[in-house]
Amino acid sequence: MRRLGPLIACALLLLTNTVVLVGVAYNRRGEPEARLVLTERELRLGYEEKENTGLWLRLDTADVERWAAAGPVWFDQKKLEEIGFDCAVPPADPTAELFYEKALPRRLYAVLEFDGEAWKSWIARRQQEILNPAPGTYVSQTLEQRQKQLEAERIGHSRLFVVDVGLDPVALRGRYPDRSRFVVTGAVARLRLERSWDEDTKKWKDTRLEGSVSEILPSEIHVPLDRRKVLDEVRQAQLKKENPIGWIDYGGYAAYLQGPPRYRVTLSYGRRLEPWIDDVQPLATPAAPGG
Amino acid sequence: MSQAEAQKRADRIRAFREELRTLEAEGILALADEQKQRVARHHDETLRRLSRAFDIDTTEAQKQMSWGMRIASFLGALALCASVYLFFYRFWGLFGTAAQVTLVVAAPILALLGTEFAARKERTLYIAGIVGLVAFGCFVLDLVVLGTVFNIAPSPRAFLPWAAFGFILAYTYGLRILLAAGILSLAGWLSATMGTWSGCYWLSFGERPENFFPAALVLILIPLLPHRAYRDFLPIYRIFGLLGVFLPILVLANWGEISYLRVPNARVESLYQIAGFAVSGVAIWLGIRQRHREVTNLACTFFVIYLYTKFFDWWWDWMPKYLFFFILGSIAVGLLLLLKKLRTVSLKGAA
Repeated sequence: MRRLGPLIACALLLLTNTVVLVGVAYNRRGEPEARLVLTERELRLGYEEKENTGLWLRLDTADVERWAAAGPVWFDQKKLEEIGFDCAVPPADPTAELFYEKALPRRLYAVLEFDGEAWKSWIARRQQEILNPAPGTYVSQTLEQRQKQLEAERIGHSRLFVVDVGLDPVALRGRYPDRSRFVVTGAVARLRLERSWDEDTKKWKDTRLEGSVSEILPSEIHVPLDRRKVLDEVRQAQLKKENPIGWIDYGGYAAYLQGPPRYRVTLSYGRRLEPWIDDVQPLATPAAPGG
Repeated sequence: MSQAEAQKRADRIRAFREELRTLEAEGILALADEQKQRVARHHDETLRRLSRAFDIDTTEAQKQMSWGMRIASFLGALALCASVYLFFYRFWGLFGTAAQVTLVVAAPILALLGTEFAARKERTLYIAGIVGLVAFGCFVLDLVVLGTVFNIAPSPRAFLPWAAFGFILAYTYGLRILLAAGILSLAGWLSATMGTWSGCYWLSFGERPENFFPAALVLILIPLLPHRAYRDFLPIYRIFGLLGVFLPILVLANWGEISYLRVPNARVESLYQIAGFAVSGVAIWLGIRQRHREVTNLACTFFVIYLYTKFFDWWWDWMPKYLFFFILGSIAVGLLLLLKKLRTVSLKGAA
């Protein structure tokens, strides 16, 4: 062992790295599985750490949970059962709470739609909520302020929405064949028991099971050195505006980008559904409002 | 013979010499001068031989110094790993992808060569231990960086080569710190795999502490395999194996909602509280019977922790604090007497 040990250890290092790099080469071989041209609205600059010179972009996918609560609830019990969640106990059963609070998140595949029907229906609903709130809703802003907010969301919000989930990426691609608009990617989904308390009957009502995508894998996209020029210029411009303390917030923590996008990114996904950045270009003029 | 066994032999010789002096002073035993000289010559020669081969401590002062050096090397190794990690992240953005990959692939190989060089130059292996842990840290950094640079989704499979690398270095050079690194990686892989078998996303494996039990069982069983040249590794396996049982039980005994068991939380907690006392009790008995000091000590510690957390739940809010601590102290004394009795019975049985 004493003589062979270092050789075996060295062989292990080389073998492991070879396996990883062969996997990377396989992922990027041939035509990409999907290729999208996104903007800063969907790929925001990651926060900068003082002692980390790396740069990454955050894939900003609209929150499925929130969307499902107000829009078409496609991630229902049937879909949850399809992807392997055990939904044997009826949601209204007295033991359902104990049963479903133990449900753990599951790894699966999600379909992301860019600038499609999901975005259009979302922004239409926001327009209704902001400009014509339901009777009885408390509104603190003036009409002009609300119009500004709607416009800000229209030009700053991510147009990337999760529209389906499944266990078989090939079957998902078959259902969503447009590779310039739909991405099939790894994701994590959670189950939850939704219900509301009825004060009159003192009982739970509208009890149902809902799913949500809690994570896209990966959602942080590394920017290689040869694709950084435009992004570094954006960062420098940002640095001049603010006084960073430790890290800089580029609006990444707001619900949507605060202003028009400043760059465009061509993002490709390979055979193993691992993404990479093909190109980054500056956007000289504010993009035309979507929707 | 391993370094630990050589050290044990040297300790026995030192103890023998001290006891012989005491017996002579008390007039119990008086060896003839010729016999005394023959024994002394034999022991001197043995100590010289062991010292040459293993660089062991032959005096109490040397032994105390060694402990200090061990602690210093452990802290130094951790600090160097942190330094390598931070150094890389401080400058990696200035390099292209090819340079980044070359750097992270080459770093563990260079550190491995450094470990081999240090092991050849220094028999105590303090420096080899430091460089070995840096090599392990570089390998972890290697796979993490490749995953980041190429946007690969995190996978529990990375734990396997890390575990293998830790074990290879540990068994090649006899380094316990690398054994601990290998054990932690193996436990990580086994627990994550257990989690994925139950259907959850692997990074959520920590949300169900029961996932650690199979890994703990594997670690507890490993010492049953022949370990003739690495007997000093066996306590490390037992300690990590028992921690893999005791810690999840402690968590589940207080937070039943994170158990796999689909029964009311209070019942889960009661079940794990009983399991905690039973398992630690059995471990204390086994530790005394098998003369595994580390097992007895660890099991005693957790038995007391289980007991105190239960008492805290029951009495802290309504009992006067002086009475609470008086009861804790009294129970500790009672426990001590019980263990003493158990030890006596066990030793009689062994005799």
